[in-house]
Amino acid sequence: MVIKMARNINLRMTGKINLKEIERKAWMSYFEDGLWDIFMGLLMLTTGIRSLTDNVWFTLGIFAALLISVIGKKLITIPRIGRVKFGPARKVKQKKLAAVLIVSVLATLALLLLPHSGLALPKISISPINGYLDCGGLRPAGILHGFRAPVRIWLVVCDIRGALGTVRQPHRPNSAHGFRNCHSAHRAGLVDPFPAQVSPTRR
Amino acid sequence: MTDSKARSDELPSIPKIDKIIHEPARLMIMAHLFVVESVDFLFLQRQTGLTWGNLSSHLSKLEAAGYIDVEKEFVGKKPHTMLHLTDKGRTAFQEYRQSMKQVFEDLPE
Repeated sequence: MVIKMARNINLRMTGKINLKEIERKAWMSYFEDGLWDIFMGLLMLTTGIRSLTDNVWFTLGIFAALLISVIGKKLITIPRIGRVKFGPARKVKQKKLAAVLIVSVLATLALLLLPHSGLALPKISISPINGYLDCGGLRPAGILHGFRAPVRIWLVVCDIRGALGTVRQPHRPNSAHGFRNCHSAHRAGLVDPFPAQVSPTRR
Repeated sequence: MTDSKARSDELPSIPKIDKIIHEPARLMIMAHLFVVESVDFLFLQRQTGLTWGNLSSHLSKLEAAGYIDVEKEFVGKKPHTMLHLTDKGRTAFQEYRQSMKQVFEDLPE
C-alpha cells in the first residue's frame, strides 16, 4: 500500500514540480500585458516614418515608446499582477540584457549624430551599413537589420567594396529628397552624390 | 507494530518527508517562493491559482513553521504583503526535494 501511494505521488510530482518552468512562467507573466508589443510596434512605426522623412526629431519617437512602456508597466501592470523580485540567476541575465541594450542605444545615437557633427569621417565608418545606404533616414532600420549576422557580413563586404569605389550608390537626380539624404551621407564621406556619369538633364 | 516496521523496512526514507511542505498547495507555494527572492501576495495568488482565504491559511501555517517571512507594509494607503522564504524554509525545501528523490530511488521496480 505504501509503495502504491509513493508511486502515485511520483506520477503526480514529476508532472508538477519543475522549478525552471515555474521561474520561467513567473518571468513571462510580466510580459503578458502587451506593453512589449506596443513598444516594438511604436519602434517600428517610428523607424518607418523616420525612413520617409529627413526630420531627426522623429527619432524621439523611440524614447516616447520607451516612456509609454515604462509608465504603463509601473502604473497599470504591476498594481494588477503584483510585485516580484527574481533570484540571482535572473538578475545576472537582466544585467547582461541591459548592457547589450545600452550599448545598442549608444551606438545607434552615435551613428545618427556623427554625420551631422561635421567631422571628417573615414571611408569605412563604425557601422558597416552606413556606406551602403543612400538615405540617412534608413540608418536606424539598417542598424536593426545589421544585427542579423549573415546580413551584417554581406554589408561589410558591400561597405568595403563601396569604400574602394567599386560600388556606386544609386543616384536619383529627379528626387530632391533623395539628393538631400545623399548629401548627409556624403558629408560622412561614405557616398558619392555626383557619380561619374552625369545625366544630360543635369548637365 | 509489525506492519509499520515492515513499511519502514520497505521505504526507510518515507518518514523523513516534511509533512508541512508535502501538502500540494503548500508545496506549490514553497516551489514558487524558492525560485524567486520575494513576491507579494497578489503575484503568488495569481501564480498558484489559490483563493485568497486558502492562500492566506497555508501561508499562516508556513509562517508558523518558520519557513516563510511575511512583511506587511503600506504602499500609499494600500496594504501590501511581501513574502519570502527564510533560510530555514529554503533548507527545508532542499531537504524535502532530496528526501523525495530518495523515496523514488528506493522504490522497487
